[in-house]
Amino acid sequence: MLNKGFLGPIGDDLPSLIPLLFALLIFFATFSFSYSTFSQKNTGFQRDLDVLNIARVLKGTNYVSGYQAFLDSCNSLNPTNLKYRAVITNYFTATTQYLGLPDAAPKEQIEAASLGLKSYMLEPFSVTVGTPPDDEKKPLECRVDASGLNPGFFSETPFVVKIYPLVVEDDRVVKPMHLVVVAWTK
Amino acid sequence: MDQMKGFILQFYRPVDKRDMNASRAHARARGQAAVTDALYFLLIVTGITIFLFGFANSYGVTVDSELVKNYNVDFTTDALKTILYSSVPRDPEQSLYDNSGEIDHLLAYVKEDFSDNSKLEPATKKVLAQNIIGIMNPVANNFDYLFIISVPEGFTNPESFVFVFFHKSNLRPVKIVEDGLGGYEYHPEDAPKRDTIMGIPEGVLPFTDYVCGYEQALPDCNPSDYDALKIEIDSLLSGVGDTSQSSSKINLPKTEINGPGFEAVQAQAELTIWNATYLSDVTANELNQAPWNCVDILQITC
Repeated sequence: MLNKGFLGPIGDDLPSLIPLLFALLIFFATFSFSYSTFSQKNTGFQRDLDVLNIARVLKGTNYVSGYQAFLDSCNSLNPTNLKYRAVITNYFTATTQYLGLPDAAPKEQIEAASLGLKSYMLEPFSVTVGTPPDDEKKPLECRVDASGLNPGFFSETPFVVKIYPLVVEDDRVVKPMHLVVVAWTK
Repeated sequence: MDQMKGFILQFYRPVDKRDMNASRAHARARGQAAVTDALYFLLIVTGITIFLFGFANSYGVTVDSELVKNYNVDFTTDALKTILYSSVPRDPEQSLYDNSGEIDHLLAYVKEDFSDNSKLEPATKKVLAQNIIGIMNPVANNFDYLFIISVPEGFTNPESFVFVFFHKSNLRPVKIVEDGLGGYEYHPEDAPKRDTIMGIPEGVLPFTDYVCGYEQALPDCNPSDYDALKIEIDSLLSGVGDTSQSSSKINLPKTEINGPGFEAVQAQAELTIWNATYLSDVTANELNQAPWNCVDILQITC
């Protein structure tokens, strides 16, 4: 009969503990959500900035004077926590040449040949190095990850693609092309 | 015995009913206060949570749009540099990769052509346009753009547009209609309605490339009125939303009126891009008329 209704120091405050615990629960849930959102967005921004820096170094003045100049720019890059593949391609400016079709190929044929071609799979343009008869073709490609790149890989990995126009001097002809930078963090 | 009784009583005292009621009331009041405190706490935490949630959702939106803007400006600047640096085949039917073709720097070709009569020949316009189309190819489906070479007013030359190239998407109001095969088709509508969206109607090319600024239909192919076309271009650019612009000075030579030499004319090359937009007041019919005088690049005559 004594102390009727007394459930103990915690039990006595049980009704007040329910909103208190609920408040703490939603606070920490939101905090955790916000933190993961910040972290995710910051990673995305950092990746974007890294891609911009890679592109800035590789394109220089937008005039690539040859393979050696491109190679020097490529070797000067040292991004951390980022994997990338940067190629200079003539796919956009000389589509028929890139696809191995005649210049006067009909539009339908060009569309059929380029069907399924993704920006991250574009092949690099090969510039002439040296003088005949010792000349050779070298691809304008710069990458840090040698693992196989395929559509399956990119369907699971978030990646960023940036494309920049530039010119490449090849065999004394200044050809308009594009620098395609693909970057991912996995 | 009395001592023991006293000892027990000091621990055991019969409870007074009044004391018990007071104690209960006190406990109840204390409990209510604790619940009220907890509810206030919940209220404050809910406020903080809403703020945190909103902040997390809006975080980075400005940075993201700035990054996109910077990329667009970078792309525009790079594209203009690339256009002006490029080599081109002198024959528009040939390719830059054709070993038998005559290759020249684009600017040299343009300067040579301009020096005769301060105009560009159709072949030069075609070569220039093809070069621009190739360079802008990666953004052609998403952006409209305008490339202009103009000559400001000088001592010996009037203001004029030397070359105006307009890449315009054919966006218009469309209605989504089922095609009976489980898919959908875009059918054109005359004007935006509640159930229409902006899209490319079935059978219409996604965009058209125009060369403007010359009266193509007339035999002497006079240039459009500079001021009228300038007003139209300014009006167009003011209505398309955010634009990214890049411009560069180029020297064009002009034959001296009283002499065998050339004088340099300071021209301006400008490239402006913007997100593909439906423009109700710039229809294809208006583009065909003065002062635009635009024609499809494939139908250029002068």
